[in-house]
Amino acid sequence: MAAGDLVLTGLMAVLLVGIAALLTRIENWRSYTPLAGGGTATGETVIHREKPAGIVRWLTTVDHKDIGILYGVYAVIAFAVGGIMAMLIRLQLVTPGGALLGANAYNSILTSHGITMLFLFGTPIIAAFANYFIPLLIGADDMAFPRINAIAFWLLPPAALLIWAGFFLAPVTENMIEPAQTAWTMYTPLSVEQTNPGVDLMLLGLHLSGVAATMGAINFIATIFTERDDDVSWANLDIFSWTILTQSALILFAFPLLGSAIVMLLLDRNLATTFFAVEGGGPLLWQHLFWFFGHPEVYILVLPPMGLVSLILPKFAGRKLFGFKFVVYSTLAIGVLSFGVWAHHMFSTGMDPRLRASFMAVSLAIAIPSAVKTFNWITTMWNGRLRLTTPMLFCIGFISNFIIGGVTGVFLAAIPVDLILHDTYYVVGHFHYIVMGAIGFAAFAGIYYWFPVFTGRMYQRTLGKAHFWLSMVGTNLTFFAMLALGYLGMPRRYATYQFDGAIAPLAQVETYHLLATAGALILFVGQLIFVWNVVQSWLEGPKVEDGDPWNLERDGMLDREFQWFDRKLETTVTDGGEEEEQSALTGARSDD
Amino acid sequence: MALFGFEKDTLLDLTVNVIPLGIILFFIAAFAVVPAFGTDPVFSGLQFALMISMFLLLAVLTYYAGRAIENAEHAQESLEEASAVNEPEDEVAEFEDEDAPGELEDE
Amino acid sequence: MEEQPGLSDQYRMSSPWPVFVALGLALSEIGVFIGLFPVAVFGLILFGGSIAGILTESGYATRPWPTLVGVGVLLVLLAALVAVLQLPTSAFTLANVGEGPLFTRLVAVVVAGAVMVAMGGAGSVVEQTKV
Repeated sequence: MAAGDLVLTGLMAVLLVGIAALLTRIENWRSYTPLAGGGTATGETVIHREKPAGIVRWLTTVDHKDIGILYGVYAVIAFAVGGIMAMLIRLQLVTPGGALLGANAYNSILTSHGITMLFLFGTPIIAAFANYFIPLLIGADDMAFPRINAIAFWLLPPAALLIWAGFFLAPVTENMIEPAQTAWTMYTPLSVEQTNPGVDLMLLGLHLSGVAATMGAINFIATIFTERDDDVSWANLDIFSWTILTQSALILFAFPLLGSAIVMLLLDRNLATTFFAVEGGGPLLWQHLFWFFGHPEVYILVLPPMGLVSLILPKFAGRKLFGFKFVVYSTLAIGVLSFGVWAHHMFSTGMDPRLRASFMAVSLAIAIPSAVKTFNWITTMWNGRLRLTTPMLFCIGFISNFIIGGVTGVFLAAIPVDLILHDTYYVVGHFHYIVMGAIGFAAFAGIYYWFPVFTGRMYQRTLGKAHFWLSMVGTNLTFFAMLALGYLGMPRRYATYQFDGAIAPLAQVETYHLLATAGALILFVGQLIFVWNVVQSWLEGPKVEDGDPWNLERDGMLDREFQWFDRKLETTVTDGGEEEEQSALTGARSDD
Repeated sequence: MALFGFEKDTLLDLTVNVIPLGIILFFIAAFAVVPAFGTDPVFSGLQFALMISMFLLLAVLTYYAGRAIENAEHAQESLEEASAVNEPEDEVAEFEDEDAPGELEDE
Repeated sequence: MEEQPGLSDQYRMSSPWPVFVALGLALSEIGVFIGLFPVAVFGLILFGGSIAGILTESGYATRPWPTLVGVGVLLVLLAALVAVLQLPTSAFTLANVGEGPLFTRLVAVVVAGAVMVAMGGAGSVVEQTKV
């Protein structure tokens, strides 16, 4: 132990000295700059470049567009990791006895899949769009606090490493530190009693990601309130900014609570406090705290994608968004009501029936604003001049999947139905329709829609459409099979299902699991095409010459971000400096 | 028709949030009239507190959002009216940049 | 819109500090919660140092040293407060370092705070004598 401490001390000291040395070098930037400010020939080149070159640029950037790209790359990597975990889960469940994993490995992967997708993919991909485009959409120079923006991003890589730490450390430490097997909800007493230090590491990672999200949220609120251009008012603020504003408010109230609950859990685990022990606050306290965060989290993840769809869909329907104000007010309504529904995740815990009833009432009320949006999107398309480009296809797919995911959710909000379907695959199917079918699809729509803006190039249209159709078919096959499995009574989170025929009809259950796995494979192929398309098009795709690649001018719907893009293209023609930055951008991306 | 001082158009927009408010109100009334699980000071209190607080919060936020948007619209309209009477500020200012820089930008 | 306000004169959109603020926070959390004494101390020093650096860089402070001393004092006070509230006075012994799980962690925080105070003090003294 003492030797270990010594090694750690040495390591840390070397690290600190290294950092100090690095910083003094970087601080030199400042000291010689004023000399370069003169009108000499060398001074000219310095003035053009706003950022250092290569990897250092990406490590030190505080430009909202760069940070947006960093968030995006990070989220796509997390999506790949979470997706591979999902594939392992689906392959495992091909046979009732489990095809490839032991029960512990299955539990680890199940836990990490959930946390990775929600905290390391969902929140960051939204932050990617918001960072890049909110300042452009509202005419701000940058975020209100550019450095805090950078800090918020850089908390995420350590968070990911900590959340996945068990997978790296288990082989090294002979399984002394294993990946957490708590499921993403981390219910006590299980999460307190698992002595595995991997759980502590995962909790710390989650805590860091929560700190990052909160910092980002404060930044967005400040930016949207104070950095708007003079002619952007509350009356003509775009819909994506409205949803990000609401989402940030939700984050501000929800994530600090998660952070505190996690600290309490850590104290229970390491310092023998009794917050969630039977003799203390009781295990149910965790569920209340967790879901008071957890339900707003659902809307934190879904509101900005709704904003993306509300922004993109009208562009390819040739009509303005039907009932723009309806969408704004219903977004705000969702924001408020999402804090009054948390215990609908706990209907079967034996809580007081009167309380249960009131949570049901609010849960039914919150269905209305979501339904309003759905009708608005449909009426926007009604009699419109639809152009089925890839982003539009993903928007329509979003609506379709959101309807299925949403309606199944309304059933779950009803206590009698929930008591039967609780903890079955029905729930899994329901929320995957939302998180993959809706949130994922809106993220793809955003990536394709703005691909010309952030890469300066065009994606390959045929591959984009292949990606859509494979995703659409795969999503519906996988998750509809899960809904059916839930009706059959298949409980969620099981590594195997060799159960008695009295619990569920085994033959049918196996068939539906096979269907779900087949769907997951289709989905997987689709995502491979997506990654290929994005990477190859970014590096080699045809350069976009026109500032209005979607021909939005015709309908008078060219938003500020494309106007900015147009101006940027024009300066590129006259000024070579911008061009250089473009190539630096693509070059450094492959380093990441 | 000037309910809460809103214009008719704004009121129509706000109906979207009246529906969830109505649903909550319906359940408040229903649970008050038919207390199917009996009444208990603590749990019935919590039950109604949850619904009533959600009702109030939603009502208040909807009101202020409506206010903010309506005020912003008014400001925009009056700006447009003013610029229709005088000259369209932005566009002219760009064309006459050389002659009278900044002269028209006195809003 | 391309005219961004300058953050540094040459590289107007760059700052070296955010990465280290984040790394410092991550290391301090790991160190304090997992109970790794050296990681806690160095993580907290990195965190406090980066805060001092970033505040100086963005113009909220003219010199980093007072911030460093401030963060150090804050940490020492915080650790002392927790210790007084949570531990019996009999636990405050040198022999107890490395024994009680809470006490050891608090000592780590105090050490980090003290080092920061010393660094900040030394920094300002050196600077004043040099100029």
